[in-house]
Amino acid sequence: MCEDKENKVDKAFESVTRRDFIKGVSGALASTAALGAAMTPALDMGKDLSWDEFYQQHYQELTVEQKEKIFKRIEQKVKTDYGVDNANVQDPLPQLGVEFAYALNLSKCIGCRGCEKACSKENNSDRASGMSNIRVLELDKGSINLEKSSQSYNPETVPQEGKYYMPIQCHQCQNAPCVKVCPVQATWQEKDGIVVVDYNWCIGCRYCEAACPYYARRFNFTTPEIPAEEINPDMGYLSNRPRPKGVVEKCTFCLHRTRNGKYPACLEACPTGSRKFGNILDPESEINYIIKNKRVFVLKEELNTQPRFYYFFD
Amino acid sequence: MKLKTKLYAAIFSTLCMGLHANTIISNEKLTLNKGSFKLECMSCHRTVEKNFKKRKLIGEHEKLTVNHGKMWCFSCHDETDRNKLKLIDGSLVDSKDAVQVCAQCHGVVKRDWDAGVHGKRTGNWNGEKNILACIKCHDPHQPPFQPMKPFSPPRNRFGPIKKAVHNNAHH
Ligand code: HEC
Ligand code: HEC
Ligand code: HEC
Ligand code: HEC
Repeated sequence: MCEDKENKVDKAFESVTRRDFIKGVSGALASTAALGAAMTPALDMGKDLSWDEFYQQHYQELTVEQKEKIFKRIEQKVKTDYGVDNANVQDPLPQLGVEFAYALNLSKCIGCRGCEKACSKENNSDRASGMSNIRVLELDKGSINLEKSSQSYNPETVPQEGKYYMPIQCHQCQNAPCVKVCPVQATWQEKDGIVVVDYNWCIGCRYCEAACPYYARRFNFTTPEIPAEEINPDMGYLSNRPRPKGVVEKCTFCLHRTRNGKYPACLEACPTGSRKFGNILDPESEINYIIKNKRVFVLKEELNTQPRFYYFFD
Repeated sequence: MKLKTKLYAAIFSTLCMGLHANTIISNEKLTLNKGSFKLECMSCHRTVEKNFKKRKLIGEHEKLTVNHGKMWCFSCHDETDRNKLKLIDGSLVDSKDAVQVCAQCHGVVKRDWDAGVHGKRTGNWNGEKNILACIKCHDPHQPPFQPMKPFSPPRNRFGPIKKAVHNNAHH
């Protein structure tokens, strides 16, 4: 089912450039009603952007000097929009010999949502809608049907008898359907395995959101609201800088932290130690030990997405 | 020691520090916490008579119950020096080395902990780490991890795209 959708999209947009796409959006390409609805944000997106932003080149073509200028512009914008003057936008690059992977121990997770909250804070996500790139699912023991899971569970204490908990976030798939369906190449996989979004290039069509079998992409319906005192000033250009309205965001394994050697924020927040992260190419890494010594599995393996996010029980 | 050997030893130890400058987060000392102040165990136990009998404790340790296999106090505490923990071979360790106490019976978990897979490490995935000791997550007297109140549920739902579009349309 998923493949069909991909193929259709692939064909439809083979030779369409980003600007053609934006122009053609209300015409023949947006043939179905559902698609039309998904497009609306893309159409009024232009209003929110300055000339510079709108005509900014694709991230991958930017020179160092251009990036520096853009970072300054973003820092300035954070100051005007959020009243914070210590924003520091950086663009740490993938490290040589590093491919990230994540593993989550489902026998230890108790479903406290600590990761979900920490993610939202670290990544300057919209507080009004309670945006987070992590979602914790509550499932019946013995079941693995995500469609039957609960996201709104709220008992006095967790874990509950007969339940287990499965946090979900971007799996940074090696064979990522979201990347394939993007009509304008605003999302791609970096050398260290992290799938990123160029928020200035994204047109908000939400194909990637629909294509993701893990429900890991989020659309910003509004300009994110974040109280000044909660802004995280350590910002990555491709990760947690405040997103404009009308673009898609996702987990980036906190690349502004992890490419500087730190653990991701969700891992730091987890009280149970269920979350493990590191360099899969390093034979001494925690993550390698898990792959070798635990029975790991990936979600929806049959789709051949080849996630870099593993689950295990022990 | 000759100066040269000393020098090498110093270099080696700084190198080692550089490579594995990990900190184990534990409790420095055994103390009885009474609100904001801490009492040395021996401040009372110099005078309190030893009692090997398994019983319901009264007074200072009234609230303390042990539910951990078949163990009782002196499986882990030294009966004479109450400031110390005791290993099965009789040697004494401080609270900061309580991992050694646990490791005696939980070898498999200890191996995973050494590998950074059981328990929790924070800091740097490729550098300095803070490693939580067992007793930071497990009460040695009541070892199961304690249940906790979850953070509030999210306001929106993600799932199959149809639902997501539908729900979000209300915003
Ligand atoms: C304020 C005084 C006081 C302090 C401080 C104190 N204890 Fe005790 N402890 C007692 C008393 C009194 C008993 C006997 C209680 C009973 O018989 O019900 C006792 C009993 C015990 C016992 C049971 C075995 C026995 O000999 O009775 C152990 C083990 C013990 N204490 C360990 C400790 C440790 C370890 C500390 C420090 C962390 C400590 N105690 C601090 C007063 C104290
Ligand atoms: C499984 C080993 C084990 C057993 C059995 C055990 N303890 Fe402990 N106990 C510890 C360790 C380890 C600590 C240090 C905990 C820390 O520093 O947080 C400790 C801490 C304490 C403390 C100080 C902290 C507190 O919780 O008040 C007291 C008092 C104490 N034990 C008394 C006892 C008594 C009395 C018994 C028997 C009824 C007992 N313990 C049985 C391992 C044990
Ligand atoms: C002398 C052996 C011994 C020592 C020392 C010991 N344990 Fe245990 N532990 C046991 C046994 C036996 C059980 C199984 C208890 C049961 O099934 O009821 C157990 C169970 C546990 C459990 C599982 C509880 C559950 O039901 O989920 C934890 C966690 C635990 N121990 C932690 C520790 C920690 C932390 C220490 C060090 C402070 C420690 N143990 C020291 C023997 C030991
Ligand atoms: C970051 C917190 C954390 C630390 C540190 C930690 N544990 Fe655990 N441990 C857990 C959680 C969560 C569970 C699963 C829930 C439970 O059974 O209590 C668990 C389970 C266990 C169990 C039950 C068997 C199993 O594998 O599930 C044992 C035994 C245990 N821990 C021992 C230890 C020992 C020994 C250490 C130190 C070497 C340690 N733990 C350090 C969080 C921790």
